[in-house]
Amino acid sequence: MKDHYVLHQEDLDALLALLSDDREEAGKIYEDLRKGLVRYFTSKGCADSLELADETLTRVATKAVAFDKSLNIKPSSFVYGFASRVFLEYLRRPEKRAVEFDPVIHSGVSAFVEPSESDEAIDCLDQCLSKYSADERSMIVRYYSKDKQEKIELRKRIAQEFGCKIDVLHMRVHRMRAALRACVSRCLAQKG
Amino acid sequence: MGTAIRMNLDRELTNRYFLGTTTNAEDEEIGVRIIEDMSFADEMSQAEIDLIEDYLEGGLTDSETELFEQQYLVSDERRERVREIALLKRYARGAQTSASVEPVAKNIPWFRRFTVLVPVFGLVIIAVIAGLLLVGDKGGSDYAQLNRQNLRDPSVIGNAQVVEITPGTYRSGTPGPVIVVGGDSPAVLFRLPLNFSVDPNTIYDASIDHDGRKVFTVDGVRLYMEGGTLEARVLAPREVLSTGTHHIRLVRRESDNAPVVYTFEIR
Repeated sequence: MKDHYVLHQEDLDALLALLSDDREEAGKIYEDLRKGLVRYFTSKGCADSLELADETLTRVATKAVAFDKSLNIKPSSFVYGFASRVFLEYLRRPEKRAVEFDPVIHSGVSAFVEPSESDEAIDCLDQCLSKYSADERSMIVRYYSKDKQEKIELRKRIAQEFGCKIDVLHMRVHRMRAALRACVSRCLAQKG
Repeated sequence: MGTAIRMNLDRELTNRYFLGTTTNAEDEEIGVRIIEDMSFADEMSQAEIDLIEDYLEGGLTDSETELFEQQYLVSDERRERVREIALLKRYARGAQTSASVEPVAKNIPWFRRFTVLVPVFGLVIIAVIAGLLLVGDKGGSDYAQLNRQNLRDPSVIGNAQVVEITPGTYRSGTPGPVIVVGGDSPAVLFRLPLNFSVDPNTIYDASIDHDGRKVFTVDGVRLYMEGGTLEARVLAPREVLSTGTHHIRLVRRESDNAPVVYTFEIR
């Protein structure tokens, strides 16, 4: 198996032709597949999901002429076959092995409770949350304030209070968490 | 393609996906759907967050916890996700605690009323409770429950004072250095490194002794890997610790081995 595949124009053309007879439609399907592959590699905990997605599509393209279009196989299904292979190779990468056997990583959960680090992070989180409205701050604080069954009941209540479904609440918290992640990261970097 | 996943997302299945124990067929079915269906990918993403929260809350089984640490935490990205949720939970817990502190009197109404209304009967009740506490398991079932949870989780240990003690052994006659524990936190988390080779699945029971009496016990303490060394952790309520020297004995279950002894002093 080659380490790295190069995408040639004729391979890309063959892939697009395989995806659709309409070039514009094919381009859209290609982009959707690329986004889907990024989601797949992210779900597998890969650091460089975009690079792996592109590597997968390049490999699919190099084999595109060999596909029998009349079989009507869903693009996501045949792309998955290549993606799973790329993922297995990713797991075998030397730098990946170094991570897997790094005792700091496997014992590293302690970092979640290191007082000095967490205290700085808590200060930063406090600063970052101060940029939100009182309602939003209250929402996220309450969202994370309980465990287990109590947590489930509380989150249902919060969703009711905000007049939304629980999935929508999760999504709001997800977006807020992403923004807080960036903010806390900047704050910690400034603290040096 | 099977139908189980198409119908709805099963928590047990999504946990297995992230813990790396799905079959190839399950893995393919989930993988294909993540690629083609953004809303399914969002559901999976939420399932991953739920798994992380379960881990931090000590809600996973022992084998799931082990898989989480061995299989899930394989990248910096994932560790960062766990760290982020842990931070939010810790922050939220602190914010909620400071916002909901109630007057102390409200916390002790029932036996106060007893002692006021029926002083003698109240004293008897108190004596019985004190007797029970002296017999053992002084921390009560709450602490038994806490010690079964993940003692790395800030939301479990709260603001407990963290004390790491180097062991000695009775066999060698060296009790190890005495650690002085001060402060006034409501609980103390003892980190007890096992400075010898041990199977991570070994079960230890722990007891804290003071003046020849057991003042606190934990059956089946959890072991944690820290910097390549296994350590036991015991979370004890401060109220069971009196002034003076204490010994924590870790006894390997179903073994004749001498206990591992850790010594500390309360001042």
